[in-house]
Amino acid sequence: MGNVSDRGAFEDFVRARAAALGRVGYLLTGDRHQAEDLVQVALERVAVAWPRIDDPEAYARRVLYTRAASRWRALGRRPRELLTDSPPDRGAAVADDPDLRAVLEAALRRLTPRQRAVLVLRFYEDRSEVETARLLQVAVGTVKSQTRHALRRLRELSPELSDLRVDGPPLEVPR
Amino acid sequence: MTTDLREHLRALADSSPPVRIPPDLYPRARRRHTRRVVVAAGAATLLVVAVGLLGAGIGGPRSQPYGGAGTTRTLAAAVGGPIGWLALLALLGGLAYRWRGRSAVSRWRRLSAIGAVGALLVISAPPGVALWGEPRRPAGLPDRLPAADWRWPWTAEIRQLPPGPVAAVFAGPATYGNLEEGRAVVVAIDGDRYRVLDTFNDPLGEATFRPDPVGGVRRTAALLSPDGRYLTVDGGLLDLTTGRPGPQLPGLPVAWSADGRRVVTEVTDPESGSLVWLEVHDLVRGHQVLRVQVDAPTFTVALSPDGDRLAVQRDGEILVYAIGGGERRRLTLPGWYLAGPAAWSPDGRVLVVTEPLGCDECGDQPVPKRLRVVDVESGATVGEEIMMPPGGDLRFLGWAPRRAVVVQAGRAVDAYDIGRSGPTRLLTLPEGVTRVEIAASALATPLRPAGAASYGPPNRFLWLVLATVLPPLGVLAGVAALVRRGRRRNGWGDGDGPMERDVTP
Repeated sequence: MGNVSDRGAFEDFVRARAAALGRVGYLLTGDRHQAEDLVQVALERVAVAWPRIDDPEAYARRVLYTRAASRWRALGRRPRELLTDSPPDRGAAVADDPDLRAVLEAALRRLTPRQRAVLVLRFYEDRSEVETARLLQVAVGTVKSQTRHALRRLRELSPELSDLRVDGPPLEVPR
Repeated sequence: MTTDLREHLRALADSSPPVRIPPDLYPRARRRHTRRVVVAAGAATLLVVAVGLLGAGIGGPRSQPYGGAGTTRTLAAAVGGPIGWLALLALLGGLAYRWRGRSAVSRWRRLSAIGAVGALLVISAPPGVALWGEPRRPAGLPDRLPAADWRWPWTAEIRQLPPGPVAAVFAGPATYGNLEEGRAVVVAIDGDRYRVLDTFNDPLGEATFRPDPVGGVRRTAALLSPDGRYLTVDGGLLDLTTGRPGPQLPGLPVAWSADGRRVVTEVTDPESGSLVWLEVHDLVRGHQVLRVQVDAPTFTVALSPDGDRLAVQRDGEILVYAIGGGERRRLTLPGWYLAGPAAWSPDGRVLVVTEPLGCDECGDQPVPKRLRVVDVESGATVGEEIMMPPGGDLRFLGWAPRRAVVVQAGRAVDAYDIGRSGPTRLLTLPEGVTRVEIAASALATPLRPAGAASYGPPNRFLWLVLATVLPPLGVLAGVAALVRRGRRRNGWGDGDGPMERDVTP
């Protein structure tokens, strides 16, 4: 009886939150299949722990982020970088420009999994540095440095993102 | 114009395609979890059982390894013994605390992996390092030997962890195993520490045939020094306290004096391989004390307990050389031969001789023999008793206290008091053990009750098995992971139709 009700509650949770988790998964991986893989793994963990967890979404998100930032995953996920002798073309920097979004998406893919996770937590989920550090099980200093490195990397990869703004004022990104 | 990262991330997320979630994810995930827990518990149980079996015999006074420097001995206690297990537990505890924030599955998976690797390291402490704290008892021959022949392939090799001076070495089909021939087993004289000796040829079962100058053949059996420290292996001495070769001697050792001071070697012609010299070497003084040219068919030789006289079996007679100088004596005993390298009694007064009985139907089977004890001076039979143990086939092994002659007849090792007919059973060899050699010092002391046996760290055979089994398992696991990933990506479908549903943002 308990199993049936647990399963029903779990499926309600999946119906309600899978899409949101999928969006996070997509941002973390930049790939539909990998996002699906990641979300399914997270939901499997939630299913196993379902009877004893109070906040399944927090649990699922935590699995998402830790799995995404896992070094073992990073070994197989990080795309190969192509070295060129000239910078990429600089396009128009328009906030609602779909091209710019594609540029950002491509640049995100070339970050390390941990850098992507830090950016998603900080700027998509609006988590504080302390919360981000706790979720990723790293030091706050690591979050700060990873954020800095990630933004600099984005800027280096795509000059269109050179005027990238976070939290209002332009971010001081060292060259 | 500036670009707001937050806005773009949200736009990017909103444009992401929907994820597909299998409809039966909940029961499948839980079933898989249960299956993994069961497998992990089974593996852990097997590991514990294996460790328990390998470590049987823990307890009793702790021993130190023979040989090696003090540093090695210190490391011995730290790495391989109980301290190693405590260190491993401390490591696992620390990691569990460090990883307490992780999910339970991840935490236990990591701890299990580290625990398994750590356990293997502790079990297989490096050669020369004490492992279990092996039992140590008063010196003597154990009154029984373990019969579990499945153990021998897993028992440490002498060179992995030397046992120290041994009481006995035994061999037979039970010790050879199904895959290998040439494995003998030794048991330490001061504790039930067992080791195996893996050689191409069984040193106990293989006889060395060698032409002598007049066309005869001789056979040389394995030889254990009186104190159990040296075993003749592959023509040289193996030091059982270090696992390394013992003193280099010219020729093949064939007899020891009971005090271990002197040893007889056979020196052969390098070209023809025939026996040309018998030499007696004084190991204390480090030089040769007697050299006898072999000019007639020569069989067994024996040194007196003090090493001052050498008995050499010729056809129908025994020549006794006085090593310190003096007249050579001749005992004429037609049909009788010195019974073995330990034929000389501990008091130096009598010799054991044996008579092979005629046996037309024996073929390759051992020829039945009988024993007699004769006076060294006169050659007269002592006690007027010819011992003829039941079964006839017997091997002389040495002397027990009170002038008792120890013989092996089949699986029985019996002591016959001179002048008495009934033997005393010392030991019954396990099924499948056909040959045994017992150190003279072990026979000279009372039997000791056998305790729990220890077998040292796992034989290299274990690593061979692991190296054979683990890579294919790893490949299978990798393939299984890839298949699982592929199935998950396809919605875990089995071809029966769509098993996933789209969840749109």
